[in-house]
Amino acid sequence: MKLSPAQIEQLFVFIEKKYVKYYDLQVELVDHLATSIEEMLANNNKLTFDEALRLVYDNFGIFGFAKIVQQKEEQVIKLGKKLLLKEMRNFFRWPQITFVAFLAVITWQLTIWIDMVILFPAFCLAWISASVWLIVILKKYRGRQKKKLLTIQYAPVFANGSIFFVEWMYFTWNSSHGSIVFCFIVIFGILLKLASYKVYIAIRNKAYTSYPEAFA
Amino acid sequence: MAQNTQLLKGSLINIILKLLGDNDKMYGYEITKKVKELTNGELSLTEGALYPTLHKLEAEGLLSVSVEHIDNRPRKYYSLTKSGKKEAGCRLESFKSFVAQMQLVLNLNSAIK
Repeated sequence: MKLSPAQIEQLFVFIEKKYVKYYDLQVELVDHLATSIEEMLANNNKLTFDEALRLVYDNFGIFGFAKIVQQKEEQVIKLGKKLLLKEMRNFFRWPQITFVAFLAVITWQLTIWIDMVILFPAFCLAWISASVWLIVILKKYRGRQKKKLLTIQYAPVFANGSIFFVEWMYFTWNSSHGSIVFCFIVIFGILLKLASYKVYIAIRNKAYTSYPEAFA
Repeated sequence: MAQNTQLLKGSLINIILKLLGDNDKMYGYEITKKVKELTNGELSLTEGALYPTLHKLEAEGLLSVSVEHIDNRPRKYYSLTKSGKKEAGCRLESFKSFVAQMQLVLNLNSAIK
């Protein structure tokens, strides 16, 4: 006996009431509950849908879905960090390394041509602008989402952290090798922003392919 | 029974990797059902242990995920990635060797008795 679309919807509501708010996790749990219930109803025609649901949910133990949600969140964060690290490493492989070399030359030349009094605030401004731009893009993308997705929610995006970088750059101002450290921080910051943007787009595209119904 | 649960918990990754190695792709409930079938109902995986393990293997890059619409609902399938296949082979080999060693130890113990 197959469950009706209304019963499947009822399962989504049930799961949401049990604090599973992410659609990508709901899908997996709803399918598990639905398949178990279908099998129970096929084996015992006296059983009602609600009774079968209660029995199946009991199998998840005293913590219900809580442990699954918590561990999935941890795994998504771990996966995000792994993807980010991979993207960062990719910048140092051929041919992307030419882009890093180009950035290094340009930044170094700028420190020679332009006084730090002008260069430092200019970079800070550029950095904050890039952060604002990234936040705007993320908000635009999230606005198109109809349902919350765990993979997107915990994607490693360094849209903020501007203050940290600005402070970091400030400390290099008058140090003995200030220009070299300054260049390193600027390049690292740019690569980190690009990598996190690329990871976010990859995660989002994958989510869109898997769960098109979660997007407007 | 409690000891059985502990043993099962320790072998869960091996079971999942083996089943996915034998089958092209599987979904969560299918894995629990298959384990029950293969062991004539002696072993049953708990959902609270199965899904976190699947998610962990996915995060480690050993499993890939695809979603298909089956019976008016989306279904998430798991399959082994290239590195997952390699890891499955290694893990099963060392598990087989461990079982063989345990066998030796247990036989030795019964001989002493």
